[in-house]
Amino acid sequence: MDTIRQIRKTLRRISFLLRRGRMERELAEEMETHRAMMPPGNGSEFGSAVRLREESRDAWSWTWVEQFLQDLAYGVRALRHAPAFTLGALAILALGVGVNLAEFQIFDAMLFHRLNIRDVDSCVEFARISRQGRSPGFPSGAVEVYAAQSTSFAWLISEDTSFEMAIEGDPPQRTALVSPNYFGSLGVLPAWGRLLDSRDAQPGAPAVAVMAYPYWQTRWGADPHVVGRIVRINDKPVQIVGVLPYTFDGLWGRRTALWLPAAIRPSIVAGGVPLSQDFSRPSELLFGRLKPGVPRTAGEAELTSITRQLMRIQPRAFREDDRIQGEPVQATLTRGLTRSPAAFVFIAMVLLVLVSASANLGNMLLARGLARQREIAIRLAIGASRGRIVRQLMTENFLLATLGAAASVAFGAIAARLLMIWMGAPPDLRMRIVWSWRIVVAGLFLTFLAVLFFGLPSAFQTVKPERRKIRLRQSLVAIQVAVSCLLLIVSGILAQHGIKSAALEMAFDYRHMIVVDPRLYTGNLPAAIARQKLDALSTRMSGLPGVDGVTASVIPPLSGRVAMDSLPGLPHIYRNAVAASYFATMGLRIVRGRTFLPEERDAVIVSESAARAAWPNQDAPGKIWNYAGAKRTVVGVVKDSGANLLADPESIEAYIPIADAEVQSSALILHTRGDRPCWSE
Amino acid sequence: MPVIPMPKGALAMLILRVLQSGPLHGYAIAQRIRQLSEEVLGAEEGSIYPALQRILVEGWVAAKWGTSESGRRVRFYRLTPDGVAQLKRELKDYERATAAIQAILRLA
Repeated sequence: MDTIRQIRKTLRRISFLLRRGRMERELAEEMETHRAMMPPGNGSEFGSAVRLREESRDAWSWTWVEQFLQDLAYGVRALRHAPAFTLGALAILALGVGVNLAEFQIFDAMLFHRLNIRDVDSCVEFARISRQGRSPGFPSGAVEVYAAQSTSFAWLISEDTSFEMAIEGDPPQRTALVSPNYFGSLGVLPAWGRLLDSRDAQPGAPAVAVMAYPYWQTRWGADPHVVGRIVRINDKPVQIVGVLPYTFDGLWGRRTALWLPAAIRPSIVAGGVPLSQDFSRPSELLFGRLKPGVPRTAGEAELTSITRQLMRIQPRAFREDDRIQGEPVQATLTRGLTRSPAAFVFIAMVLLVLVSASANLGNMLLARGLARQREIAIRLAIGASRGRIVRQLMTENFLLATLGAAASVAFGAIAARLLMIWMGAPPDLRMRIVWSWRIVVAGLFLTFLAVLFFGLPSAFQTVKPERRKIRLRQSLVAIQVAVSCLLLIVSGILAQHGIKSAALEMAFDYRHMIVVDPRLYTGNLPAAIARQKLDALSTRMSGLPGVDGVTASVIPPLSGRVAMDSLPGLPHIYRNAVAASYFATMGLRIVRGRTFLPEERDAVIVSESAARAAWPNQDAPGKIWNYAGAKRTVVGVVKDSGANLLADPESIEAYIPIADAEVQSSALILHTRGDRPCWSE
Repeated sequence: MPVIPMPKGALAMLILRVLQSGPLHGYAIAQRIRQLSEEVLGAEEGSIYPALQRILVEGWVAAKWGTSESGRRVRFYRLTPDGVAQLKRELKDYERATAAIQAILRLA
């Protein structure tokens, strides 16, 4: 019954509104008659006809809607009449909110848009955990066994991006070797042609590969006829069968050129051991998805027990207390951010910019209120209530906020893109600014919040008598000054930090160093031959005019290559495999002990910082250290090189001899006298 | 005489009450209310018109143009069945409230 009454009431109201001209005329007539009928001078009054008519109108109109529309129209007029104020306020909102949006978009690009795969939430990355830390890589032999024996998983896939290959005689490019079910399990669809599947892993199957989108674009001019073409990879013919979509860049997220089935690795890469027998290098990353209803711990336990069995056959491939632990892929992506307090400092700073901008806006609104004092006094005098005027001022402010939100979204989008370019972010797929409705919502939310928090007090002060305005102004200015000071101090600290690291003393003479990469890994050579070649090359190089030293290392300093280990209780260890002559050539003084002897394999030399961290107040040489897959004797302590301090100020360094498997990835480092000598073949 | 603030809706209730005996035009409603209570209208007789408009929208009264005793064109207001029910409801609520207050006053 109530609802019927309600509907009838609404219908009546609408019909009144539709006939409002007539209704008002009739009401006016009725009230006029009433006044005429009243006997003069009997002490009673009719009241203000204008106000009573307005009150009557309120009975049948949706007052607040009408008032809102009136206020809006009034606000538009008021803002148009003060273009300097309007533009100023919009600029402040666009800046204050825009930088926050830009920051959102950059974090968004870094964290949330990285993976474009099916069931991303249930995809787990596995790693080996032991007392010595966490290592994500598995030997390919183990991956084969996991795939064959485990029963907890809907699928297990592997990805190995550790190989660089020469494609059509170009400088080597990073490639990815993947298990046959990789693309099918992740639900990745090709941009062109087809992707890899189980038929490519059959014995005797023709060698095929698919191209990553950016590589296809930049090196091959996005030519669709590349599909079907035979390309020489490490001097072997391989047919290109497809192109990956733009949105997919692998689970590990390194930029790669080419994707190949792992099964063809022995025929293309040096050391042609079939995958199932290869336990030499733990470079395969393992991902999986559990069967429905199977908890992650059950999957981990199953993989750990298979690993225990494998250890009996291949003890050198694992650490003795290795167990397998899984982590959602999405979580591994955000790990970097949650670990770094710098990111939170940054977020807080950018939010403070917003607070400062909003305080500024509040001050501007207050000043404008003072300037409109006459207008407001008149409106109060003709009977407007203070609440009504505050409502009108806030309508005007929210109009400003809406415009400000639009401006800040635009500014934020531009700023995010500029920042990405300015930060020198690699033109990487994963670091793409993606347009999303979330940004618009965030922009609206922040501007409305800013206007509500700083506009409302100003509006209240505007309609109040004079005396307390000064106090609000003072506190708004105080907020601005305080926030600006804080920002200045923090950015001062950050800048100082930056200057310090830029001016970092390198312990070695990097100005006279030349790195030569002989690209032995393209030749598919056995270790002994590779070693011979490297030695021969280094002898030849040392004979060149102007060269006064030649040495070899797997990771030339400042080359951008990095091998890092994490051991419990120690800072990040930057590992390098080097020749015995490395320290002398680089000018890194050996503080204690000696360099490697020829044929010495299980030795390690540590930096001074590493010695201090691992054996505080003890003599490092002679210590036995379980490091990089072997029990090693510390034979020497060298000066810190400073090469990795830029990226990781807390880090320490360790050097091991170049193992057979790594000879082919070694580079030669030449130290020259004076100016660069002229080179000729 | 000091003006006693009247509870909200008292004017609407009084209008319904005076219309119970038959249709009346605006001026007559004001006169009848004045006889019943001086305070409700206060200094403003015109305040019955916003109240009448609200009651019209609620559907408790209906309005019709006619001619007054003195030959003027006036609008007559008549109680609708909904209005009768509403008046009954309001009187009952009022009695309940006053009974409760009186009970408290007696105890005190």
